[in-house]
Amino acid sequence: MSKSHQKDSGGDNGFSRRSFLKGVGTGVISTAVLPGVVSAGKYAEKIQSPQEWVTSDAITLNVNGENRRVTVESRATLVSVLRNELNLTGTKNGCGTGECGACTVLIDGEPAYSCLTLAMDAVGRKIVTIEGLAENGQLSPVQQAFLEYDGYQCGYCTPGQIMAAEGLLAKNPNPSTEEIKRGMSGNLCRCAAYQHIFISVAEAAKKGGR
Amino acid sequence: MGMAKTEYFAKRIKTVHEEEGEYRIIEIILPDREAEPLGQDETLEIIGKPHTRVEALDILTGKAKYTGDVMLPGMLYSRLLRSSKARAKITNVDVGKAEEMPGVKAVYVLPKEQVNYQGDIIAAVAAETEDIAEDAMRAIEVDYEELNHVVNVDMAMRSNATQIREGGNLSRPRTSERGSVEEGFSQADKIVEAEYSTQFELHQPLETHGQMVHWKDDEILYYKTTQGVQSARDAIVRELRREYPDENISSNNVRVVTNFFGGGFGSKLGANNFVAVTARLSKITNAPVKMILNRYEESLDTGNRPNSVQKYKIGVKNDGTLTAIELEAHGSGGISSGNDNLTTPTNEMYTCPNTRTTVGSVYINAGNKKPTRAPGYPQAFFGFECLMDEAADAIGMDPLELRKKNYADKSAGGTGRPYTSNGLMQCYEIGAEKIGWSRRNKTPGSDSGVKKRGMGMADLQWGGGGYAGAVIEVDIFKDGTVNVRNGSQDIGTGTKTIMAQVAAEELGLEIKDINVQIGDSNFPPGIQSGGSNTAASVCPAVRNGALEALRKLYPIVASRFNVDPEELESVKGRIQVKDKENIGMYFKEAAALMPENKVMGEGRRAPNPREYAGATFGVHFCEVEVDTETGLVKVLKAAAVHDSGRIINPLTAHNQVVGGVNQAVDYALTAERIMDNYTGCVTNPNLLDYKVITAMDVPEIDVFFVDIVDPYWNNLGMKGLGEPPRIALAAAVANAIYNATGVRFRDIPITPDKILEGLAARKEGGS
Repeated sequence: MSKSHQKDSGGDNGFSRRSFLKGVGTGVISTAVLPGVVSAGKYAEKIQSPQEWVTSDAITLNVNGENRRVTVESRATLVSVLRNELNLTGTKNGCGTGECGACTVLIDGEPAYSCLTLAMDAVGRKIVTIEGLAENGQLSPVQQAFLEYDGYQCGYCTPGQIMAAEGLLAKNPNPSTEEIKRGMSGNLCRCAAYQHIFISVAEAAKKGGR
Repeated sequence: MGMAKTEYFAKRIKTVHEEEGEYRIIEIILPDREAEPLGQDETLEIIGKPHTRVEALDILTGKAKYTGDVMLPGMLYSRLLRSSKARAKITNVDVGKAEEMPGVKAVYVLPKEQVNYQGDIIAAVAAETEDIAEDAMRAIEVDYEELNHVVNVDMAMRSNATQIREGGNLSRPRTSERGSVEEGFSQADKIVEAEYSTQFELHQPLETHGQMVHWKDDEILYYKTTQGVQSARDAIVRELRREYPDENISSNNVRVVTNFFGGGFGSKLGANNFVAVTARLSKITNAPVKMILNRYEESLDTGNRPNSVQKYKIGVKNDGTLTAIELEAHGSGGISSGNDNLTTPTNEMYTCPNTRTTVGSVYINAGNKKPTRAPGYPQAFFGFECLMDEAADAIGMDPLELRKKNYADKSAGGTGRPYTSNGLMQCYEIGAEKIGWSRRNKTPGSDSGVKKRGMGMADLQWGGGGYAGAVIEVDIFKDGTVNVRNGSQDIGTGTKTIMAQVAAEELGLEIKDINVQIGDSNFPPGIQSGGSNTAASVCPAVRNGALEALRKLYPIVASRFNVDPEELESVKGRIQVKDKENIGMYFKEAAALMPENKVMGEGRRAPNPREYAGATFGVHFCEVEVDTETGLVKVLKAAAVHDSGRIINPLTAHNQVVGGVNQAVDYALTAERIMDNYTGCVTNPNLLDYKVITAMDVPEIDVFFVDIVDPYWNNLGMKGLGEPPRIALAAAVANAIYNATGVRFRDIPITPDKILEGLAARKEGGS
């Protein structure tokens, strides 16, 4: 998982992930990225109304096996669309900049940071969120193991941890402890319940992973 | 209720209330009847057994609604504009462009003439989407007139420093003294002096701070990330009354709800500095307004653990007896007043009749401090427990033996009240065995090779025994189900689960029969989740509440069997005459006979005993590996042994200790808020450059609890566990690094550059 675009500034620190994404999303606005420190005022002068150059489009996202039609701005991140448009709030936004992993979902079976994924880039791909794991109220082996081995504390990073574990076990059904650590290393747990997370993943693997 | 009230008024007493190191006299109401204390040998069905969390399904399937997950019809999104300057006068704020943007519903500029740290709030916007709110926030133009700032504590203390506030950069130091340190030092065979320092630490919970506020006609509703729904409610009422003197704002129409909570570690205590501005936006727009901080704001303006500089002088006899300890310390709470308690290890941890502490605080242009998991203690125990190691070295004694030698069975360094229990001696034995203490280098630095291993240890102490004040309502419904309600909250530690365990045990039911309802300020008086106090405050009251509810149910059964209600017990789903299974009926049958649709038991907790002191104890051992070529330190293994009284849920307790120890690893080695002196800005306000522990860095951790049920502290014999695991490890790591390399590192975090510098200095002949 990429850990590039880590700068997210509040008011006016110039280059920010958001302005970067605006550029990427529209494909032509690379001049909107103003390197170096500028004031909010100058930023605003340059871009009178960002909404003027942000396009909107109706797209179809395949989420948890269902096709969902949504109208999104070109700059909208997948995490924002999942949460704010589709009300799938199990996916958390811990940093918005690809540092913490709380927003991890599966895209075509691979764990991905949904805060670094544009919604438009997820079109035509299979997205699975935490809400899509349990079938008929039956927890997945990973969820069940997190339950039994107390693989969490506050639970905020947990959807991301579980999705990362699902992705890991899909690729490597019998990971060693070292492989589990590496596989889970893109996901921070600030309560630091790591040992409980590792044993949950190991036990899920024993029970057939996914 | 009227009767009960009169009765309760007759039983009010004054008691000392301790919270986060602050003591004040409060009046409390005694429980109507106090449950029999559960002793060491009590056979229990549910308490003390591992139980998975009662809210597990919600958390693990993504259904759990944390504050930011709450969606209300017609809600708006808010962003805050924050100062980019460390100290400046605000000469103009132009919101014209922001206000004109389509979708922007309100822009509000705070009446503020000056900002005093990077991240200080200047203005707020509310808009239809998150992105529009962000755009509008960025379009606000601020003209600053920059003032000199100071963000470095040493620089702030210089006599020619810019004074950043009225009254100056320094607060008057507080001194306390016991015995005579001069006399104590004169009795010492060896005197050791050393200076230690610790960094500014950020809480960085993964759930950033935030709230959704809906100012309706009859209620101001807050969904809020708070560690105290009721203390937040009270603070919000105070603040909104100040801002809106003409409005009806009172405890009965401000409601704070925290259903799920994504970590706080102290930063979410109280109400934060943005409570009022979101309410204002809601009032202006007549809509619910959601305001969730981003990681940048979280790093700048939601609190921090103060730094510390600690100068110690300790006197010790050749046999290990401590004769005197002197501490001169200071730290900074940023722009806010006050500092953490740095005196506990000096004054409390070991038997020592002579101590003197002087602690001052320094103001700088940085965000406010907030209590941070065990406020003051990780700083102070880092310094003091390294000092103990150095003292042991000075007299050629095993550091573990030095600690045993000075074991205190009374508070105030052996001069105060006896502890209700102190399991340190058992902790030492278990920990030393688990880590293999006898394997450590007898001569520090004697491990050969590029990667050197070493072992260290450190003690810890914390209060956290809870206090009186919580009232638990236990409702038994006609269908035999039970609600347990209280205005506390679960901050991720498993409070709900242990409350269900205690209620189930007392009622003779199963956990699945109990529904614990917390996290709403309208519920009965609760405890704010701070200081490791929640568990030991609410659980004893849950017992009393359950008993009170049973006492209302028993007469129904008693009349059926013509027995005295006092003869009845409720076990294994049956209400029966004690030890007579055949005289009784199922709990559900009894409930069905109730004349009304439920009975309510009200449970309080007895105050802590006055004739004793109560504290939690523990010891952390660890083994580290120091790469002498790269300077990288890896904590290989830790043994954490705790005396926290009776453990209600070994599963979640284990998790709690693991988390505390892991967090202490980054405190010892990597995590530090770094500020740039020139710009006055934080250089690492994110989770990439502010280095918290990751999956790759965690040690193997052995967790143990000594099997001591506290005999006096409360009716469950339990003590707190939230902060204790955070306290000792940094010192244990530093001591282990010394054992590995023979070089002392007295400043955390002990980053690779410091290691390499220290090793190089020793090669050149210094130390």
